[in-house]
Amino acid sequence: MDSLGSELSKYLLLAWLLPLIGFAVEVLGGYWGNRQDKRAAYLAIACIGAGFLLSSFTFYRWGTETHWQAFAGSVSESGHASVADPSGSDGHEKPDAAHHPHKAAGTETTHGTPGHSETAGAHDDAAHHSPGPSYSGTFYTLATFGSLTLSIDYYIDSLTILMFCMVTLIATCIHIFAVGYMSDELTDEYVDHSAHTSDGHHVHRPGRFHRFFAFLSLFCFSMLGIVLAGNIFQVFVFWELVGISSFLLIGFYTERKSANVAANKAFIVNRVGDFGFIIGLMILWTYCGTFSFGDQDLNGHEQPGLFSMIRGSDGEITTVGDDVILKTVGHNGHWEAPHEGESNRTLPYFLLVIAGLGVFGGCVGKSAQFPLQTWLPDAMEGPTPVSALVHSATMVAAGVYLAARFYPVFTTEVLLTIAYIGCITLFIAATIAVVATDIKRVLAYSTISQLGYMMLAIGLGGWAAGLFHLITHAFFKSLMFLCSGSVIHGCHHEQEMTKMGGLRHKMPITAYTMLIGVIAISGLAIPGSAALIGFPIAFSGFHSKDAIVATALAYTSLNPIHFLLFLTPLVTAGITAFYMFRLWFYTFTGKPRDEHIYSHCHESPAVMCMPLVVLALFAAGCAFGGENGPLYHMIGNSEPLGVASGVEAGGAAGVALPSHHAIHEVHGTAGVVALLAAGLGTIVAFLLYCRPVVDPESIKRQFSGVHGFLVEKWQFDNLYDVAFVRPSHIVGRWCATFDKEVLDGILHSTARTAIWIGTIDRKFDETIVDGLVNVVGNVTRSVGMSLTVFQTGRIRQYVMFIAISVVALFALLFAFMPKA
Amino acid sequence: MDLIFLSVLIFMPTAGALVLAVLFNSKAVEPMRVFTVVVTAITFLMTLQLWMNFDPGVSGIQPEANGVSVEWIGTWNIHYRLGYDGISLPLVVLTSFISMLAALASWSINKLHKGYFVLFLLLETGMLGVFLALDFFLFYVFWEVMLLPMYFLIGVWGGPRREYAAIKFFLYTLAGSVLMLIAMLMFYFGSGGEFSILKLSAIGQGRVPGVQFDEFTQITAFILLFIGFAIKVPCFPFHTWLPDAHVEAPTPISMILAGVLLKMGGYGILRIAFPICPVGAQYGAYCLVAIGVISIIYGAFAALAQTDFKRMVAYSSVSHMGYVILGMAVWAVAQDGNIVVTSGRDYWLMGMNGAMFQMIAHGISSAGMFFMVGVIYDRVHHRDLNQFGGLFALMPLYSGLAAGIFFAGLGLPGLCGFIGEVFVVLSTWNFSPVLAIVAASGVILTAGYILWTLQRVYLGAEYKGPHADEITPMNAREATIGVTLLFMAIVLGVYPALMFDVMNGSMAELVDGMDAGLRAAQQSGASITMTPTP
Amino acid sequence: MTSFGTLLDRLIDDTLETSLCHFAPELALSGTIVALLLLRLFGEIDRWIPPYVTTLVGALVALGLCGTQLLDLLNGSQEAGEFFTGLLVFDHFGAFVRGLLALFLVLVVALTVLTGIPDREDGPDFYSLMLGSTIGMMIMASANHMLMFFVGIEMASVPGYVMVGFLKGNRKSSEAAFKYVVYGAGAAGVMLYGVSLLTGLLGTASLPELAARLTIVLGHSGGVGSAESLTALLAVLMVMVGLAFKLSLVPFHFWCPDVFEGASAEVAAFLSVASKGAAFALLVRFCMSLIGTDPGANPEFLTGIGLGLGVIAAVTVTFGNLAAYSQTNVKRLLAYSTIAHAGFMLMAVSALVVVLANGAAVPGFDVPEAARMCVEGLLFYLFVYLFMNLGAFAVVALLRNQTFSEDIESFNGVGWQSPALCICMAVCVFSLVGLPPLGGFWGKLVIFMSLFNIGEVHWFMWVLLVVGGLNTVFSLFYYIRILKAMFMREPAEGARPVEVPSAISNYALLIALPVLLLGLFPTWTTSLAHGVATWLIP
Repeated sequence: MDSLGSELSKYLLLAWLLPLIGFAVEVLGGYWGNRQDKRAAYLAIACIGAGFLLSSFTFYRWGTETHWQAFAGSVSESGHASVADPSGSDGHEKPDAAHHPHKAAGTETTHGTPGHSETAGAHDDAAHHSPGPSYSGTFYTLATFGSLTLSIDYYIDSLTILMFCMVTLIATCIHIFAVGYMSDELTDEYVDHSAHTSDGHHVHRPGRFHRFFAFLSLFCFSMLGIVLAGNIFQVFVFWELVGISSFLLIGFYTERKSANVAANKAFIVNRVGDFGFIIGLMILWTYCGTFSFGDQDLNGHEQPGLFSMIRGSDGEITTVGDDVILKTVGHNGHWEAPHEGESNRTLPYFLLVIAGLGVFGGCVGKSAQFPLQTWLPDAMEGPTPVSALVHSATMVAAGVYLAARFYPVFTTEVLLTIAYIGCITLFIAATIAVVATDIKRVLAYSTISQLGYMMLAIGLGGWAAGLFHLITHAFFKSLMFLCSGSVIHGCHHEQEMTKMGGLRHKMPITAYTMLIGVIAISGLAIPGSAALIGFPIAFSGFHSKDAIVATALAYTSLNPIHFLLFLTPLVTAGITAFYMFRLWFYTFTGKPRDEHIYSHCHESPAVMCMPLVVLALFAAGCAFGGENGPLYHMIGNSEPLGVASGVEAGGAAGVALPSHHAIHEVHGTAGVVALLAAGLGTIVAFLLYCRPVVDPESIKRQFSGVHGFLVEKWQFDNLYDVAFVRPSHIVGRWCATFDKEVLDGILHSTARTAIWIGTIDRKFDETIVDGLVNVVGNVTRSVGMSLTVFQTGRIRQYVMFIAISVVALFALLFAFMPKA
Repeated sequence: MDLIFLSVLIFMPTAGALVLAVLFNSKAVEPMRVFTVVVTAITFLMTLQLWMNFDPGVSGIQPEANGVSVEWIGTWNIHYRLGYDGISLPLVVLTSFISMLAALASWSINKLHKGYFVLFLLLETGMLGVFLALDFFLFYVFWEVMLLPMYFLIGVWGGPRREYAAIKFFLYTLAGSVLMLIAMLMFYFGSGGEFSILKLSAIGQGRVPGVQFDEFTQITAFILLFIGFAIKVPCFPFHTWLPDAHVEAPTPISMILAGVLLKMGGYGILRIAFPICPVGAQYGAYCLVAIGVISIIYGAFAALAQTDFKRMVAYSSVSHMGYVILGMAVWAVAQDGNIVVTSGRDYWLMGMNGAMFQMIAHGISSAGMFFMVGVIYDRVHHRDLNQFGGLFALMPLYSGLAAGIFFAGLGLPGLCGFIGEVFVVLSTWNFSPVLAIVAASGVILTAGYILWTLQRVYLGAEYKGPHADEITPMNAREATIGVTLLFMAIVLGVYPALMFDVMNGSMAELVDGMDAGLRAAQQSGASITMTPTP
Repeated sequence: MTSFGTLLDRLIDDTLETSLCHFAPELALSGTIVALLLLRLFGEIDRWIPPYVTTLVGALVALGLCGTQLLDLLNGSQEAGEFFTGLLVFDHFGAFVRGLLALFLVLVVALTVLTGIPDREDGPDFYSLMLGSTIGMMIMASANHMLMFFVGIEMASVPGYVMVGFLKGNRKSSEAAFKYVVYGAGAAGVMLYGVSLLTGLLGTASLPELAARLTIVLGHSGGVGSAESLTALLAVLMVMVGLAFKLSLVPFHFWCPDVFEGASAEVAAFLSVASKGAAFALLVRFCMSLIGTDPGANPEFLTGIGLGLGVIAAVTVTFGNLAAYSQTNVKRLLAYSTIAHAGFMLMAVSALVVVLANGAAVPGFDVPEAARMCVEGLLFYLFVYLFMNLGAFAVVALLRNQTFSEDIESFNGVGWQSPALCICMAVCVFSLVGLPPLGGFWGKLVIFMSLFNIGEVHWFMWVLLVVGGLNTVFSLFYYIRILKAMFMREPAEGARPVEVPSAISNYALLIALPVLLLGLFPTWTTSLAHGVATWLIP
């Protein structure tokens, strides 16, 4: 077992590095290579495909070694291990944390003031849902300063493996799709119809097929880096790298101004989030002295990781006064707070909150949550495969992934914030999606909205539900993006839905795979099927959304004051169904709105359709079994300590988190209302856009104010432009002016003064002294006798100066001489 | 033997300059260029030899504990003393490395070649001397020696306002060195006639029985030294010479200016101001950190507002060098009874290392950025940011390399700039949360101005400025320089231990020595009070 | 009772055996003057042996004699002592300064040969004047009596007046000469009055006795603030006016820029270096005589004088540097620069007086060592100043012969046409600024060190240090203008390219080399200066 972590890490390392190698080769090869050469694509596919195989193999190895216990429903205790696995030499097997079950439900310990302690709710649940094994270790060390070490680590648990499989699978599909989608770049003379030179012509440029795949490979490497990362610093490193990959891919069409602006916006807005991220890092680093997720073995000295330090082995935050006591005493994955009198490390509680909020800030940026959601719709400037891979399935989900990974560090206050942010986001984005007409933008807003759901779930304590939705969403959203890509490709780069219609006749595969995605995201199911055959007949989205709504309901029943956290997602579930079906009806049904486009439209080639089918299968069936299915169990296997048991009301926020048991109780109710909402949305969409009963245009006219507000994306872009972008340019100009006018001004005026004084001196010399002399001299000279000049003016003048000077100096000396 | 080797290393460029001055015909431009490159390359190889010989296990001075020396001016106890440790060695190698690349970039010089190359080589001697000198006096001499060639290199071969820029550079640096001189005199008389940096450090840190710089001396000297070095770094508000000097200097000189000369300020603080005046350093810590933070933010804002490409890069240097000052100064202390003790020594050590790394990283990235500006300037003869665009299509290799270098400046992980910046920032919270937050906000601004610049210069549909027909792809020589710099940026970004392994020992010794110095000063009655840190 | 005859015998013995021997350098120079004047009478010889050869030979002989004397003194084979019945003194200090003067004479003569400033007709006159002036300066350097004090100054000055006006038919030149004469006469008058006042008050004119008498007078009259002390103060002040005139200290500097502008560069170089060196020697002697062998006898009185000198030094430095900014004529610019440098050197004297008067009051302070450092700094400064200032003026003179102008603009772009000259100029200018590794840096450094050190005795020295430091920075501004013109400007349209013969280039490099060597290896000179200072302040 101890060598398992090391073994898995090697497979995943390889899967992780292959795209990097691919990137290097593609970039260099592309520079010297042929523009019509597809080898770059094949290499990229080979790299990521091999990554998928490796991930799958890892999954298989992990399953067989753990005897597939994760899927057994409730995890048996003997399977748990937390293994610190330093690089090279494997750590010794550690006795299992769960061997100390009395700690897991530690209400009896001396945990500080009631105000800040979190106590476990249901004792039995806690024992049931102890986490599965995780393996951590170090690849190599970046730097060591005394007791501080920064390194490139790995942290592998079931979630890591799952994410690896998901990312590599989707990426492989999208790579294959892109071979078809990007094929028009395989030319020496590519005409970009969206970019114009100043004389009004289209831009002609060489094709950049290889570059696209190079960037995709770079992205895959970075994304897998986030997933594999064994410490939060490393996450930050790859966080930035996915950011830059995203920047490069959004700005792939460098000739288009809109693409460049969107790329910059994406990166800079993300940096705003990263600013918070860094603050979080600084706090944790300063107070905990480690970034590591798992426990570490440093030079034979075992050190607790972040999670162990904050939560110990009982999943509790221990406070004394306003400080959180870090749990540093113990070994073998079992950590507890020092006893009284022992020296301890503490972390002020409010700083833990800020740290959590800070790291979550990073998640907000990356996952395009409110208030940093504005970049994602613009990011659709990138080629559609990019939107599918980066801006829907993987990178933007990384925020959610991190929030989940970092769950043990979040206090209830932070979780409440996360919940509300998610809630606001999912609603805002859904409302905008209703009015959007660009097919990709609808999907983009839908992505934001769904990410909001995930965040909401995590904030509500529905840890597994959030991640569940992450996985299902990745499949159906990448599917839908690829479908939209197929449509765009078929319609010769037309993205406006208002010019489409009836396309299902021309591109049936695309249309019906898309429909699967739409149904999945809407969360539709066959009513009563669960009652009839024991499990609901539904696509993946139903299960995951159902889980979230159930969590929200359980949460609201515990904390009635936060009822909006249930109502909003419920209503939005209806809106989601509405706008998704609106999109599908708009695009694929009815009559063609633009005959020209319709007539030239064609179904995409097999290389593009194949991935659609594969993804459709996953979108439909990946959540098979719902919360009793393998996917959910696998996620649950990584669930942090204490989630299952819920949290009783406490903390500044005064919220309680529902236990699994509580959620399970309301599951039926939630499923019904969610389905109702989705059904309602679907019906409305059908009535408006498929069999028009009411003209949507008249509604638009009647609510033109609201419509305008929504089309303007709630005015966020304008607000930020006024509030941040323009002020920073103004401040910049101030700084530059300050330099020029004040700092240089001081220097220049000093110089001028010096020169001025110099001139005065000289003037005094020349004018006063010589001038007097000369005046007298000239007057006398005009009389004629030059000798008299010398005798009169000058002598008197000069001698007078000497005399005056002597007298003055004497007076000075006299004045300052000490008197007897 | 070591003495001879180090001396040969330092004066190799001077010898080259003499040969150049005497033996070469001033019409033979190409041979002179090649000769200069060869001389700088030999020097670089010699510094690599030093790197090979370096023993990272020894934290003190190498090759011998007190450096190798010979008496120079006996009357004043001045020695010609050379040596290196983990602080100076990376900078020595950086100097010869950047000099070599700058020599290779000197093909764009188009007048008075002989004088240029002679001065260029003399400049390299001055820079190497500064980093290798272990006698304060010798340090001072080399410091000034490097000033003169620099003045002419900017003033003769620079742009339209070269005279103004050159005199401004000269004046600022001279003002700084006069302050340094006064501090030197304070040490000389306070120590009973000592110029050896190592001995002065020992005295300053209370390791020499019977002699001690009192609190007043330490604080005054520290302020004088700091201003002197801060001008060179340069940090706000002493930075205004930098944009002018950079804008007017020819490309290779800008590379050296940004790549090496600015590091002398940081090096001076680490080598002289800090070890000799630990009390002064603690006294000024908060101010230093604040200056560092202000420089970061101010430089970034000012960079945002520039329309001149080179000026933008120059202000980015101000911003990036702010991290250096910031990282060095995060020396937090805590009250323990009546005495103050260092709190969070490892964080300070991290900040110091980060600052040092940032110097190296900035040496590579900013030299690269200036080179990239130079490449395009050589072709289109203007630097107006609003009159570029579309270069990605016209010069793909150049644009790719430039993007890589600029990303290094932006602090992208995997490239050198990231490590320095983030290590410094991470170590700052321990000193002052407020300043740490402000410093961290620099990441947004940095991304802003660099990406905006990239957009305006490299992206877009077409090139908008004059001389469009003269845009040709990079030639092999230029590509070599660009690739080398980017390669180094990646190596350092991916494997920073390459540098940290060398510096860490010396840095730890410095940190512990200053900590001990503070305590020694307290025991001898200095009334050190904690500076309140919000 | 000693008869008059015995006295006379003794006098003759003394004169023949010691005095004339000690006076040998001056005698050599005098002989050269005679030879010059005589040779002219025999017209033909004059053709074969140009006057400068004679002068050079004489000057070299004098230099050799001075060098021998100094060496003898240092290794003890000659004793220091008074000669000519106490009118002059033979010591290390004097020998050093005289050696300096002789060396300078050689170099200036060599320069005039290259520039050809006196034509064949004028040669004997010009060189006679120069030699005569040098003799006066040497007397200044070894004066031991108020009489010789005055005689020396006048002897040095009067030929100087003529030399300034030596450019015949040049109105500026004659005006300058006239100005110089009038100023000199005024200053001399004031000084003479001071001399008589002092002599009358103290009852002696012998310098070694001044201090003791002063103590007595001040002691009897109730110390500082009494009428006697004020009289003494006034007297000292008036005496110093004469020196201040020679040193062109503010406010007695007005003549300096005009005279330098009007005179040829060679003469200006001569005046700026030689007469300043001699005047500083005399000033040190005078101050030392007021202090006497018992430092700390009249602390308040002497401190007052020392601080007064300090204030004048600060004002002079600042004024000189500020006024130099706006100059367009290089010689004028250099004139202000010499004013500033006089200020720097005066700082050393000020520190010397202050530390000797007051140093004993500070416990644990090594007064003699600190005082020696002042003298050492001054002497070293003078030594370097000789080369760097001469170098600067020489380049001006040499370029003037090519461009026929002394405006800064006429130097535009010369740097790349005759690099040797301009490198010499660069070295000298940077040395004047005080940048290492050039000699000027050491001069400044040692003086700054003294100031820093003596700041413990009186805080005002720290103020002087700051003023000195600031001025060092500011001085860069105008010095660099010369180099800027030479290296960074394009030559004017149609300007004839400057081509300098190699002899001239070699001369320039010869002058510049010591500046560099003194910077790199100052030990020999500093220890020599230190030895001299040790004798002066035992």
